[in-house]
Amino acid sequence: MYFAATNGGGAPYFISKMNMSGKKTNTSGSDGFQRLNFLYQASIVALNAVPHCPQITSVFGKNMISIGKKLQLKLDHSVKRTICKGCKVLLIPGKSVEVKIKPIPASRKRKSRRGNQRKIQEWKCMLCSCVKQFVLNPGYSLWAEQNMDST
Amino acid sequence: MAKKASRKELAESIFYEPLPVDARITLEQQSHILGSTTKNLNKDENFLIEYMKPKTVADTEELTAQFKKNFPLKNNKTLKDNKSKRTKKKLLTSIEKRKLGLHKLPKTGIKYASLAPLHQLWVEYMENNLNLEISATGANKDGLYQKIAKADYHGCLLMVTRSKCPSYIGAKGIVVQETKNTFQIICEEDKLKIIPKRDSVFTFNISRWTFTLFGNHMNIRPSERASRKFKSRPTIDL
Repeated sequence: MYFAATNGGGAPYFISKMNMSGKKTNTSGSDGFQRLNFLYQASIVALNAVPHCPQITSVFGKNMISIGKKLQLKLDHSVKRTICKGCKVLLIPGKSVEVKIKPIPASRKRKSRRGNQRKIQEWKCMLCSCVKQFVLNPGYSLWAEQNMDST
Repeated sequence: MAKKASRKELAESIFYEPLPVDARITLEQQSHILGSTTKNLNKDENFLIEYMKPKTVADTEELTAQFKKNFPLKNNKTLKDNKSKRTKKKLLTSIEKRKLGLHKLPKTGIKYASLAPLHQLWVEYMENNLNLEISATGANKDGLYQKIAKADYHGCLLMVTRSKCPSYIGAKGIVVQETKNTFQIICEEDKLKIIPKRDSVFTFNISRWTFTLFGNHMNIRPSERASRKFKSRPTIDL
């Protein structure tokens, strides 16, 4: 059930280093990452357990964001994208979000031909109707993900 | 034909009863007051004027002028337009947050049995975090205590052992929300209990160890607790 939340740099973090003698020592900030990791998994479990009350997941989401701010830990893109910006609820396509594909709005269009053909994936939170928009670009990969592939 | 007529009469006699006497009298009286309506019923305006005449002092000209006035109705907006239009697409105002119920969890509706997987996840997290076999038996337990103070308690099975208020003692349940001053617990009767941290002592179990938390010293927001450094005190008061 455990999966690692990566830090903002791109390389996955290690929860505990192994000393030369084989004893485990702690890296800095590992406590905070463990807590974030736990909170994210807990919000998924909570949403499955109590699907009619998504407000519980907003409690977890709020804690994740405030702990990240206090301890200056960055949330990974894959984690951050599933937290609603308005109500901090866990977003699962189909359960708590409506996902639509729309043409790019006129204000964002560029004059080039490529810019006009882009489409947007719009995530609309079912609770608070806050909107997240992702521009669909087939050849694009995040900087963090690029680093992971190479190293 | 005669049969049909008789059938009709039968139907009418069954379905249509004659009006009760009182109603018939009042109706007749009203028609008398209004005047016979068959007279000037070419236009509705005439009828209105005829009706209003005995009740007001005005002339027919004034009445017609009055009736020709146009009253614009109030511009009733539909519910959708009445909703406050959010200028910012992402952020919510505090009023909106309160309406959505983000601060308060519902008192009934969350079942204790459905939170069992959450509790299991919490136990796994604590076992991994604290590393109890090594740290609990070691000499220097400061690291362990620091970790307990910084840990997250959502999903913990807490029990109130001592408290200044006797009604809180013995309250037991799974933590769903932690705020600056309270623990919000779902107890076995599927009720949400809000227990203030102040003047209470909580205990929880992990495998074969029990831990006590002194609520008086935990009066901090859970996110701020993550970066707090707790000083060791010589005596602990309730």
